[in-house]
Amino acid sequence: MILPRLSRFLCTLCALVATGNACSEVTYYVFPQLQIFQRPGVEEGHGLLKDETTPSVDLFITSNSGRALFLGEILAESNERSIERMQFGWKISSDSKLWIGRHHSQIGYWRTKFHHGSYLQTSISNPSITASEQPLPTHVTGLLWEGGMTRDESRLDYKLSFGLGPELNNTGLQSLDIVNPNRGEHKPGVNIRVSYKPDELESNVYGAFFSYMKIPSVISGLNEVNQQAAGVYAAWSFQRNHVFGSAVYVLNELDQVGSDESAAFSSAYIQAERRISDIWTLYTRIEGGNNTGVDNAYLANFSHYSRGGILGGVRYELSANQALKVELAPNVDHISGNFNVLSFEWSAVLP
Amino acid sequence: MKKCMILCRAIFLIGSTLLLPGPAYSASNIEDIAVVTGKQSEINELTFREVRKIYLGYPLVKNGSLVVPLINKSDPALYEAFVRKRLLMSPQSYQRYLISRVFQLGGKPPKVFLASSELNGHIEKNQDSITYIWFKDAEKRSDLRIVSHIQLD
Repeated sequence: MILPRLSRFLCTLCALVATGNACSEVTYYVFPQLQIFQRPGVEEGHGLLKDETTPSVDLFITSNSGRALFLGEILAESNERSIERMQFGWKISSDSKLWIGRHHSQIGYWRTKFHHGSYLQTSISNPSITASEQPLPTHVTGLLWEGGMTRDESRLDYKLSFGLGPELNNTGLQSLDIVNPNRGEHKPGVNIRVSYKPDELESNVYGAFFSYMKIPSVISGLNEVNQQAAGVYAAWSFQRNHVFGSAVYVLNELDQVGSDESAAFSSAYIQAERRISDIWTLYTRIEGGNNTGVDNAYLANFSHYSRGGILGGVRYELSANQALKVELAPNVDHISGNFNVLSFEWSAVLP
Repeated sequence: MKKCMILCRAIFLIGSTLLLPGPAYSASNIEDIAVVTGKQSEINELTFREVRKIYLGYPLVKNGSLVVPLINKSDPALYEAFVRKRLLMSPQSYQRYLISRVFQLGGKPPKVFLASSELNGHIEKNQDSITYIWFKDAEKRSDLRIVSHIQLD
């Protein structure tokens, strides 16, 4: 059912781009990737497989004609195809843009930095807290205001998002399906992110974010979750090293049948990368949290959520636009038990 | 069993690939580089930071014109020397940086030219553009003006 609708939508999109203003300039990237996961020791029945091979392709397209902007991203995986971003924008000034459409929420650092283009990130896996639609919303459909200012060499950027958030069901959070917007119930929420770069040309950055979402639920006994998330992030580069991390505190107020309940938790990760040559990069990441046990009434709805662990890996630049990665995460502290994960990935960007 | 075989092959393939030597940067035969614009351009001298800023995708207005960077890939050694000495990163990192920037913010990356004839034609028609060529070649060109000199040790 999804495929025919998606095909029609893609055809419409291509026609729009092709017949658009002659002055418009279109840039596109295709991100193919193949991931192989080995999880010896995982207990069956938690939705995770011992052996898993997942091919996927992410198509990104952007276009601008004068002050008008367009940005779209479609992710096709073996079992799912989804429109990740579909934004129409207007460039108000050289430093500010207003977008309307489906965009990424401004919670955290990872998702807004790498999106779904695995080739762009050094590691194979994401920190668990940044997983797509669990346990935090990753997409919002509505307005996105981007602005910033430069003073001397430093730069301050801010992003304000206001729009419809996700719905909670048995598979996690389901953001608004813009091809079929009547599916599910979605309520407005707001999130904001501010970042400061001491030198706008360098990658060192410090930032903070806040989000407030009302998340309707179709899970039996749970009507709605009022979620507030606040956190900080930072990234530093020095010589051949790059270190970045983020910490978030999440307060969930669960409106349940019979009684209400609060289920707060916190999570943090830090990733360190070292380029040992132009083609080899070593990396490691540690992630942990507080109140992330199975007794957390909110997190109990996310069977894939991993509470933390440490991992290490290596990335090899196979060519100017292809990379191979190997990653080992021993003793991952998963909400359904502990196990090891060995991962391989080939990823690329075309053209 | 079949999956195990496939995985073993994948490990062998990836392991073998990982042991392959990658491309290495040769610092030999490097010469000075000139950042140039059209003879009629109103762009004056550009500082080290300004050139870096333009090629990293930040807008820079000079004498009322938005400076447009053009990437010259007609000579791989020139491109590599420029990226390393002016942008302070490897060609791979620069490629990832540009894609990542467009991926986050939209817009478009600098135009890439693989042939110098095409680049020359573009510069002539677009006087607000800049690019880079070997300094010794720039000195011989009457249709171009040097706005920045990159000395390579």
